[in-house]
Amino acid sequence: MARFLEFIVRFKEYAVLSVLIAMSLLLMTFGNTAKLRGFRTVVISSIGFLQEAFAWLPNPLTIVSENAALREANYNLTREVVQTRRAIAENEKLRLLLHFRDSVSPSYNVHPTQIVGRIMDKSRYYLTINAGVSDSIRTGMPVMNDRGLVGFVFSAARHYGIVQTLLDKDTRIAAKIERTRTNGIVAWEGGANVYLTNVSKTEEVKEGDMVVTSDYSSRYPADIPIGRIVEKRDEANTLFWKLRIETAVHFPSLEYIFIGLQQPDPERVMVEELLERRLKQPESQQRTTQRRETPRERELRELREKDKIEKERIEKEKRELREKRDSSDENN
Amino acid sequence: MAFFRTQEAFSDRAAVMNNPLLRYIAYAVAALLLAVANVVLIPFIAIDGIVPDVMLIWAIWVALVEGQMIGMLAGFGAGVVFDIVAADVLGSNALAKVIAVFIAGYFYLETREEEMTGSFRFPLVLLLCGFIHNIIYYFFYLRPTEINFIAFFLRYGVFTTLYTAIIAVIPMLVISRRRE
Repeated sequence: MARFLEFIVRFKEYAVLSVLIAMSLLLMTFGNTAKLRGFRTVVISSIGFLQEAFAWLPNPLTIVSENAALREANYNLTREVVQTRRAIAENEKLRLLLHFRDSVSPSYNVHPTQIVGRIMDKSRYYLTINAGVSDSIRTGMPVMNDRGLVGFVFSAARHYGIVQTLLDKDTRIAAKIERTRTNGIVAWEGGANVYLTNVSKTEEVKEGDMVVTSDYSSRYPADIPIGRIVEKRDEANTLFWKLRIETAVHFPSLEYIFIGLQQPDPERVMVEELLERRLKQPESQQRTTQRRETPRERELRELREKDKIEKERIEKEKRELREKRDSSDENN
Repeated sequence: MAFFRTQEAFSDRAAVMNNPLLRYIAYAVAALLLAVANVVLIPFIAIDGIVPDVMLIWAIWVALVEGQMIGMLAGFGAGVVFDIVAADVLGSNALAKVIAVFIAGYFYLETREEEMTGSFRFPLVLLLCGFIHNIIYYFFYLRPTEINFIAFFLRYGVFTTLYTAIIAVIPMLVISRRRE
């Protein structure tokens, strides 16, 4: 025992170290007792009170980093606000599109699609859509949205399509003024508006009248809004009004559209296109471009001519014979 | 009467330092105040969330002034107080500080205490002991988690040690000036 005590005294530092380490480990293992938790709660509450009392003190070393963090947080919040606003706007648009889809006739199938690109130059305004032949999209199908007529499918690849909008130099749409049912033709002459032409000055037209697609249109379904008349121009030396229409569709902000899955009657389109092309040509050119007769037709024509000559010859002989008979009768 | 005698004794610094009991009481009071300051005031000088360990500075100082034995007891007490005040795992700081102070005790030079604490040996001792303290502390701190110990220690342990050693220069300068 004496030797043990001597050993302890000799290595008392190690002994104390061992005891303290053991105590620490015991505290770590069993220190989380209910009584201690209560005591620590009181201590932490007091510390919290003191921390609050000194909260007004600035931390000069963290102000810079805190500032940077706040700026970053501010930036992120601003971005989130922008995203939220965009989401709200998009939500509103989609809601309108849904409403439109529900409002169209059930027999008229439409395919919703998104605009993924725009091709613009001075005389054309095309939209690239992320729907194509694989989505039953075909060339010539009408395109519209909840506001009105957009254009038609100009071409369709497997997964993408090109839409030719109303803002195109080739635009010619049979339209009518909704209020008066007066028919005309919608055409584009540049800018953001289209014009309704071929409306006689005798017709009653008001600014603000809605122009819709006509029943005569082979390509577009009837009564799709095109826009409102915003200007009535009385041009000299003509019998027609020039009516400027503000399109119902705002093309720069267009994002979602519907493709009408009914294709126009190809035969009707072909005939009308032929006529339109013919009318566009100058008169002199029309004559030169008259169709050549086929050999069979020429043969028939020659036969007809021969027959005519023969008939004339027979007629002449008959006439001569009659004249001779008449002269002999006179002599007798 | 005894109370007034104690008050008189506290007002006379030399009397306190010569009376072991009063000295230990003063150490204990200082430990409590530093523990509170470490939690309440020291965060105001935090750099990127890293704060110096003033309790370790104090414990090492006690070890260099009083020797290994008293230093260990001071370190243990400081660790327990700090664990309670800082709501840490009870015993984790105590264990780390006991071992760190035990090593610091080897630098104790009897009758040349101020030579040790008033020179750059003090922050250097603190640097060494601080590393050991933080290795032990973070080992137990990270044990229940899946955080990589090396990465965490390099991120926090090393910087905490360096920052603590830099702050230790302040008491070193105070003691050095008093010596002069």
